[in-house]
Amino acid sequence: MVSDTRTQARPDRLRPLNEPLPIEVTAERDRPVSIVINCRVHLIERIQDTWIIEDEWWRQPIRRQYFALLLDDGSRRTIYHDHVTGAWRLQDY
Amino acid sequence: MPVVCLRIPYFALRIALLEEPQLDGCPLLLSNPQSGRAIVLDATPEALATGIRPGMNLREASALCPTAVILAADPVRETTVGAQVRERLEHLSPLVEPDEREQGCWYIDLKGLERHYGTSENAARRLIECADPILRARAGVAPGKFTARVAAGVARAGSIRAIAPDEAPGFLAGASIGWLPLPPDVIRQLERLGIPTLGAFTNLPARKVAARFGSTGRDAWELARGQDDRPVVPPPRTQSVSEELAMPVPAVSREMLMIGLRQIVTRAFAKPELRGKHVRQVTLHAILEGERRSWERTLTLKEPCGSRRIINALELRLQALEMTGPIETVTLEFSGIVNEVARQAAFPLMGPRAAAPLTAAIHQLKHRYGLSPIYHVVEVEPWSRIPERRHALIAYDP
Repeated sequence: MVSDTRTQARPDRLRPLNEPLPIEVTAERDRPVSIVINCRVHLIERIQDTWIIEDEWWRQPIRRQYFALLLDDGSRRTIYHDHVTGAWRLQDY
Repeated sequence: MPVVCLRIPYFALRIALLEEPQLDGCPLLLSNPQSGRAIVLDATPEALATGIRPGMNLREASALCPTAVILAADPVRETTVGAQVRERLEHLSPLVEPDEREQGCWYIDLKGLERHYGTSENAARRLIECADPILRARAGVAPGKFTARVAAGVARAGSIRAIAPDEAPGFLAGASIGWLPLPPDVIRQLERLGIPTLGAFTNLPARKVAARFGSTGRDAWELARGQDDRPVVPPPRTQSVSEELAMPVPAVSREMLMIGLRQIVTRAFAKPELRGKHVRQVTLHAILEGERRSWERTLTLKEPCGSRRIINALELRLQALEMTGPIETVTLEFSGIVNEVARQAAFPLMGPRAAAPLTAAIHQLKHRYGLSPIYHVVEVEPWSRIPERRHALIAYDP
């Protein structure tokens, strides 16, 4: 028999999916050149696409520039540069 | 350069002459002698001259022409010979399209080949040579596919009938209405209406034809006037792997056949071309013992399958198989080859029968951890431009 922890169950609790993860990026003139994934530096073979999102300027402004990247190992990643905080993030779009 | 139509009339019967050329000139009948109601499916002109007609009872046909040689359909041989001819044609022109409605009929576009062959007649002569002379191929050369087919239909064996663009309407006007690509009942209806030729058909106003026979009739009306700009479209190339097995003893039962098929499937999937792959379609060719007979079955799978599921599917499909004779050789042709696919199986506890144990397990986990550790994905703002706002996990708490 499992003992009751008496912690309140919260079935309505929402957990966001696909949250952006911090990532180390080397950039030249605001364009990424290499990124670090799992402690390994990957050179960026090609920037396949780039787009800007600006939203919610009336409360917490969001200004992001996304980059769809083709890495040197053939894999594809999407990262963005947060123009509000200056941080780089990894996030599938 | 125009379009060439290469045609081998009575294809199913003519291919039998490749093995038995001494039968050339004899009245030949294509029939289904194994079936309950044996009828004449096709007949050569020599047989038709004796009064035999397709659809006639085989006994009646034999009475009309006692010397007629009755042949059973051999679809495997038809496919093989057809593929051989097509391959030879493709050596001369890259644009070769087999006719969908008639076996033993191909359209060849000679565009860009002027410097190779000089005239279209020269090219057509080379194309006729692609088929064995005993098959009595003939060619029609015309600006469009339909006119080329009609021209090939009136050409004599081994000859070419060329139709210049300005001659096409006049040539088609005298041709039989039966050449139109319309269902047989529509053709019969037109004949009953007193429209025996394409000329009589084109004399009708286009809008009335369209009103009576729909868009198909309107298209046929344009073809009958020689207005045919349909391009020659070669069918897409499909990669396939074939595996053949000569049965040690002719298979007379379904069980024996399945033993052979299991062996073939296992052998085929051990080949490098199929290792780690799945297939979408399997064609079974069975050659029967002794006589020149065969049958084919095509099995199209709902989704790409590996060897085990193919064996199961074959077993299911062949359950109702009626063995028409002892099988000597079996060939399986695997096509639609794709990389091995995996399917996300349902969580075993999520099935409706498992609802009660799942609920009990979640209650137990809640007691242990304070909250249900099982979540499901819900849409929050699927239209959002911000990726993390689109979906979320919510605790699964039945």
